[in-house]
Amino acid sequence: MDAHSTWYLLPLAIVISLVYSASRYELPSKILTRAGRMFLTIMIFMGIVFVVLDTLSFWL
Amino acid sequence: MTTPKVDLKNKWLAAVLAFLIPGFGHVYQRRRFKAVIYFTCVLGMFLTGMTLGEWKVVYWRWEPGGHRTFGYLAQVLVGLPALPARFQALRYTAPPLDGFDIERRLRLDTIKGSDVDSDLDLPFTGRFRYRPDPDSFAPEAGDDFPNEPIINVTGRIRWQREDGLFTGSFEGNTEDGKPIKLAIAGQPTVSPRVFAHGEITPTMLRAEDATPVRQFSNSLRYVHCDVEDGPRIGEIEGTVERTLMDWFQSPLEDKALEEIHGRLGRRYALAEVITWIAGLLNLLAIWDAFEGPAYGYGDEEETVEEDSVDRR
Repeated sequence: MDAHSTWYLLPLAIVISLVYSASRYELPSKILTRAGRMFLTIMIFMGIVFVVLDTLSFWL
Repeated sequence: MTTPKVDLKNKWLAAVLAFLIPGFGHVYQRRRFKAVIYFTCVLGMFLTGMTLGEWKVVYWRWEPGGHRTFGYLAQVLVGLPALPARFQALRYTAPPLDGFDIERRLRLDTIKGSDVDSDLDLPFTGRFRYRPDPDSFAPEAGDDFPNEPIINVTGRIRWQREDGLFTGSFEGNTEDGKPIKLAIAGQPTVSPRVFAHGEITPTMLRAEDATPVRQFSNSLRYVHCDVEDGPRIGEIEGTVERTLMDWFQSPLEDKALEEIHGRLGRRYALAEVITWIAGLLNLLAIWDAFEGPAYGYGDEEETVEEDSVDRR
């Protein structure tokens, strides 16, 4: 479980992006576009955090 | 913000519907695309959290100076799927005996809980053993009474309380198929009716060499009581059923929480967080049903560009 719990980030990010974007706009195309962009932003941000923490923990 | 392109109808009713069932406020407003998003995402996330936490992450406990489920304040925003917890907390603290309060309940050991049902009539599965018979005791055999064998039994147990006294019987069969009928003697011990994840580990009738393994269950209640079979006395110990309505979203006591945290570890914490997020996301959906999309319809940028082209 612990080794794979990070994978829950994917569906979590998708759901959060969709719901947040749906509450901002009305047009389906706009919602999906903004949700996709937000999902990518979250993944890139979390990826950077992961790399930084992984690098820092290399010397531990 | 409210946009004239979106007909919010009765926005108060829409907000209430959006709270009760995620997406239903938008169904009422005929905003079907968003209704599908909210319903699928919020409920899907909530149910995922519930499944990960073995359906025990949503409950209500609010003891002054003690355990308080602040997370429920987020979970309850999912609406009907989380509201039973509040109702179950009321049933859990409802006194089957006079003067029974939550502080007293929380001090009680689960197994030795004294809030015995006044009436009970349920299928029973467990073990039975006669107490040593003084008449058959042979002093030359040793100082201790010999242990009687433990017999596995299944059947039906029933009792009722009148004027503080318990009367009733157990009727069933031994594992060999022999019929057995025993009269209830004294006050039975039974774990509470409205309860989740109670311990059902056999504590009295266990083989000497059996390794004690703690067992917990939602759907079973621990029962122990003294019985009489004519002149002989004995005891039975086992379990009776607990219905889904009596354990679903019932408050978890400390012993149950310790067991779940120890077994599920981070998975339980993750399950809690997922249900919190689901509730908080539905807050966005409720506000959207009440006030419309926050940034507008979604075609505003294109409109501005078209305007600028027209001016040229």
